[in-house]
Amino acid sequence: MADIQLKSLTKRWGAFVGLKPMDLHIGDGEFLVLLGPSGCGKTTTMRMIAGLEDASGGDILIGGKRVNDLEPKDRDIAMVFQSYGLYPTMTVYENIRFPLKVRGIPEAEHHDRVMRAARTVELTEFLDRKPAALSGGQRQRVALARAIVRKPKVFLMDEPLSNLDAKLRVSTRAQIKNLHHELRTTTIYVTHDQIEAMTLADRVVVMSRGEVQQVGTPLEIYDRPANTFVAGFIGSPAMNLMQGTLKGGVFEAEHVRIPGLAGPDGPVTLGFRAEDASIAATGEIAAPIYAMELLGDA
Amino acid sequence: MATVQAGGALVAVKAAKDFQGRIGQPIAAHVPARICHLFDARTGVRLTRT
Ligand SMILES: Nc1ncnc2c1ncn2[C@@H]1O[C@H](COP(=O)(O)OP(=O)(O)OP(=O)(O)O)[C@@H](O)[C@H]1O
Ligand SMILES: [Mg+2]
Repeated sequence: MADIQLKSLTKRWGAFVGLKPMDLHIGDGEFLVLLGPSGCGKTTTMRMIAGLEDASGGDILIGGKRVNDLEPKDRDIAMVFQSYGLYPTMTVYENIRFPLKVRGIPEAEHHDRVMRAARTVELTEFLDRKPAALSGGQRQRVALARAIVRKPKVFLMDEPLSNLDAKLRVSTRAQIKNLHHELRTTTIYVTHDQIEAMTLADRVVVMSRGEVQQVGTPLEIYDRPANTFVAGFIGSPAMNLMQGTLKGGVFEAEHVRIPGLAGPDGPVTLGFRAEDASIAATGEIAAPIYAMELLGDA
Repeated sequence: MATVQAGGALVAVKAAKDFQGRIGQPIAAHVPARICHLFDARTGVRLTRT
């Protein structure tokens, strides 16, 4: 087990900045989720931590030790990616065992460890099959088993569920959560799916355009978005955002008048969540219906 | 969910399950100050929580 520290971690390719200086402490045993839209730098961050990509600047510390100059295999990290990366000619058993062989773990331990990992992700009945004879969810579980079999200090998971259909995503997500509860391995998990982030994370890092927008618990990010990007990205539907003017604590915009606010006079953006508001005989917003939608509980 | 155009944006408001709304029908929504978040109009940074 180990904590991870990122100190001004940066990535540039020529003039393009993939990651602006990022400072973050990930606690021992924490489940941290990097969340943000496509291209915001999530994978880049992960690849630098894993050692697959050189940092342009800054330090990466795992368990207090600087690892910038260590090879990926010497960082004691296990990775699970969107593409499972299984060996097609090997059985499930051999796939799970592979990391033990590569790392020269004594043969005598292999069987027990493979079986324990397979049991953890409920794969024992598939051990003799080749990956081609498995469903997507089962393959992803083989990838998970292969990651946990050697008890690494850190798990890095980059969109591990994105190839699965909606139903499998939910059950595999639950399995990952349960796995973390059991193993308490420090985990960094990348997704652009905010539901995944909110259900799995101890803390979420919201990123946009190579820059951290907010770090907080799922509840903090939902209840107190640090800016309009986070407000407009988190929640389903995302927060309503309106342009208007604040004067003497009254917000005014087209079809809108909301009194009782505290803030400086001048142009502001006002946000509220659809589920916090309700239709009434009279109200702060009065306008014709533009569209009606049946949506979950609303 | 009912959507209206207000403050230069599409704004969604929760509607009761049995709410029968037609497009174009005028409605009102209760949006008290306590559920509102304020952000700087230019930078987007959060101002306060009321
Ligand atoms: N080798 C490279 N050379 C130049 N730019 C790159 C390179 N690799 C990635 N980028 C750019 O860096 C930015 C961040 O990419 P990254 O893969 O980290 O995004 P991401 O957040 O993982 O997105 P996604 O959700 O689509 O996987 C993107 O704009 C991408 O085009
Ligand atoms: Mg990515």
